[in-house]
Amino acid sequence: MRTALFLAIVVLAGTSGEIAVTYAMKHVGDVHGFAPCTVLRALGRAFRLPAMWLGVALIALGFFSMLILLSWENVSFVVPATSLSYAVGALGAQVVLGERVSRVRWMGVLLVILGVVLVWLGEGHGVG
Amino acid sequence: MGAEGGEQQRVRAEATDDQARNASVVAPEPSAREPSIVARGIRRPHTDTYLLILAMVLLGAIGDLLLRAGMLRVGAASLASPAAVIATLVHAFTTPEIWLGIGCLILFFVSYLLALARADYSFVSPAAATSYAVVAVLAWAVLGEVITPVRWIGIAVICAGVLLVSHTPPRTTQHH
Repeated sequence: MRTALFLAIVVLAGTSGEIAVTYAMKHVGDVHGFAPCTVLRALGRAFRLPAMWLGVALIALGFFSMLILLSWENVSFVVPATSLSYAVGALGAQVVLGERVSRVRWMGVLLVILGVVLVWLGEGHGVG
Repeated sequence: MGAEGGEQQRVRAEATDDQARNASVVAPEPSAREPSIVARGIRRPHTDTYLLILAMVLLGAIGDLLLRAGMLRVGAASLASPAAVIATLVHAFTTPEIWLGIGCLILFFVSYLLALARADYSFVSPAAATSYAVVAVLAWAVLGEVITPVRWIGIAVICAGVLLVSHTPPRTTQHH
């Protein structure tokens, strides 16, 4: 039960945090070039928006819930289970941010989830 | 099927005609924030997005492996007592691999933010899943981990998914 609860927190906090951060970065607008001062100025502008702080706080909450989950459950259960985030994230992006998630993109997202599940189910024993 | 066909066509049109791309995908924005004509001439509008996603994938994978290698040196974390937890943390934060790993993950997050300023969340996030494949291959090449056949299939399926996502326009929302 607590596993299901923390799994839900990892997925929901992580995706809603990333959606809030996306909202803030879209508000900042395109950043042209990778010059350190340009990048820092853009980040400075982003961190003046409440959505950015909310997003970072939610991502941190998701991250620490993930660590707690990892202390109870095996990685090869946790990582595939949290890959559901890709579907929840795409749905959230569609509903909250108004992104157009076409059928092709949905198929891509579902394949990514399937692939992550396979990668962790087929985890071999590490050889030092 | 119709929607997909349209998508494919649009992608092809973009690849061949930069101006059409500017008009259709990226909502045209008057002057100020548009890249200079020179910059637009030498690179396509979303080259930066792809570079940032590449940076995310590599930095995320290298950061992950550095943290893993660092924690192997630190050993199993003990939660037996507050003192043991502090000792583990001190050991972790005096291990160079841990700091390098954290540095990579900070740069990963900055790349992620910059990518999200340019492209859809529902484009960047699944595209960055390539890092699972890169981590697995690097763990095989560098740390000598075994990759089982099921894992190879998973890696191939992730790549197929990313390929599909990359065939959709990176940005479907209006500029502010």
